[in-house]
Amino acid sequence: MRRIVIDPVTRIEGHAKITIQLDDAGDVMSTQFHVTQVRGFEKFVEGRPFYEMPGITARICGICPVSHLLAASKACDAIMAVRIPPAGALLRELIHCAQFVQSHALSFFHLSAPDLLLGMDSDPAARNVLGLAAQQPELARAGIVLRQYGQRIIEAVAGERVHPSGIVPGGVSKRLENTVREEILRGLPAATSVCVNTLELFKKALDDFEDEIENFGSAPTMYAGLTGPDGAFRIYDGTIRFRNADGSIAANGVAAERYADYIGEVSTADSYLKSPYYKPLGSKAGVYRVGPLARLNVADGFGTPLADVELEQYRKRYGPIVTGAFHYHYARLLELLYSLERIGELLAMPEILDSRTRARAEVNALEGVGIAEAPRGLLIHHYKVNEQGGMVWANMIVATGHNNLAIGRAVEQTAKRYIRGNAIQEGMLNRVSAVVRAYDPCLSCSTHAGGLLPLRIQLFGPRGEVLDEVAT
Amino acid sequence: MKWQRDRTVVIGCGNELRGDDGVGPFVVRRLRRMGIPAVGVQQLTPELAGLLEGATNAIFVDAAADLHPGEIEVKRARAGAAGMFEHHYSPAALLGLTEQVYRRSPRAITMGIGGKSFALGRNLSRPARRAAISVAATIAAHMQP
Repeated sequence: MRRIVIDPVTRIEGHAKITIQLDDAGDVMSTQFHVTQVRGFEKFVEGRPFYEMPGITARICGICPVSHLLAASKACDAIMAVRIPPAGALLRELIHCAQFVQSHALSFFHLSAPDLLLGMDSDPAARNVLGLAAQQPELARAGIVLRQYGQRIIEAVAGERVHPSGIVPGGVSKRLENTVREEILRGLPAATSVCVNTLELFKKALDDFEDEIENFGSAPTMYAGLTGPDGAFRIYDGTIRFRNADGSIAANGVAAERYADYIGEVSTADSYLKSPYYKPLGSKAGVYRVGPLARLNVADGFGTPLADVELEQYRKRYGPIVTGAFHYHYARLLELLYSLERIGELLAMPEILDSRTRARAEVNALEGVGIAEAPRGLLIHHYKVNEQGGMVWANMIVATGHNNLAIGRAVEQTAKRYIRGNAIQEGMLNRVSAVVRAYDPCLSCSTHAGGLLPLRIQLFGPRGEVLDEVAT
Repeated sequence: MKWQRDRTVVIGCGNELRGDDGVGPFVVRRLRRMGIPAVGVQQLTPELAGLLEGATNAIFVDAAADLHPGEIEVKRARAGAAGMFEHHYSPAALLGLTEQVYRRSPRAITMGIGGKSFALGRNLSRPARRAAISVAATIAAHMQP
């Protein structure tokens, strides 16, 4: 028997490893996807004033702090029982769209494009963004343009590029100046053009990946994501819709505060990452996915012109329910296009310039739930507070957590397809890493779990002897 | 040596919640108060290549754990290779990316400032703060309009 360990899995956010167990014949027996870090946010926020939660939880992640700011602020909105002013809601959505642009650009251009455009079997030493820049500088430049554009919007509207302070309980902290609005609009055509060109390039490259499309985590699962009342794609507001693997709707219009009726969570001994599942079906049958692929499977349409045309082509080519995890990349590019179009729509609304952007209140409810679509999928913040507004309990379910069970299945499927123990090559192992990368997991975000952590503390004496030991 | 203000990019890197790791952003704030444009970041990320491509000079200011507290080390930075993780870059990797994508990159130096404590907290230690003030003054003195 032989064991292969891929540690660390590279070009993802955070730290993970994959263990692959082979039998005597060299075939894959089993695989495990381990998340090897823990953050502890859910515990150490206890006792803090609730209104600090956006600022604290944004520190969970440097890539998608806006998502945590939004989900936390929405949970605080619920605790204050306020309705935020229209300009506040529009500005929050604008900042969120900008975050989708910068985060999806990082994922596609800098983390995954080296696999997709240089080839899974290319020299690993050059299979990175510098290798991409050497061979396809236009594409590397496109990634930089889109990252810069998204980051600039976040900085201009919300205060800072990373961990912006402008999203607050009750709305946003400052109004949008018309000069900033005009600056963002000036950059929009170039950003959109870069996105459209990249999409065309990617669609042409798809024919080279027939095998990966077929075998990269293509086992059917359920899907979850936010939709509007009309079933349209949403990233800021909306309610949760669950679809079954066959495309039928399992649950629709699930409001934030009812999430626990539909989502259960289990902890496992080999990973710090919790495993959510669709509660009515249990943890075996209730595996679901979130994120770009799932959002497109869940929603009826985008509601913006260019993205809807592209979505029609995507569905014509791969069907109304797309199962292969490889298509997370395709879906990510479509969402990038939607986000850019939506930025234009939001900035065209006159009320976005209103000076009233924030509602203020004290504690009016002892519990609040906030949900938003982070770039990687559904994000849920659930808080309980005391009468003084002190945090007494928190639960956060992050996109990569929702996908945990599906990632595990995808790793196993991909390993079984590509790994043969008698002649292991880098390209085979990279396909196993690449299927994880397709989900764009953010492990920094995901491992703040309470639950049963496999934790062991040993106290050593001066001669190295174990004096005491505590284990959960 | 003089740096032309509108052709020089100053990037201060670090986490302001980890003690002396915040010296880079501290220098940035100080320069901005003097009217000198500078960018504060927590990590060097790929889109900064878009900023560097139009510059003649670049200065990277960052805390250094391997220097004595308050010690300042100035080194030439040259274009190099990217790391395997690619969440964040070294100055060399960022210059390398700029070079590959835009076929040019600025002349660059790194200014390392020795830290005393990188524990959780917003305050700089006395030696790091003194060095950061000195670094900001040095950069300002070499800037010309």
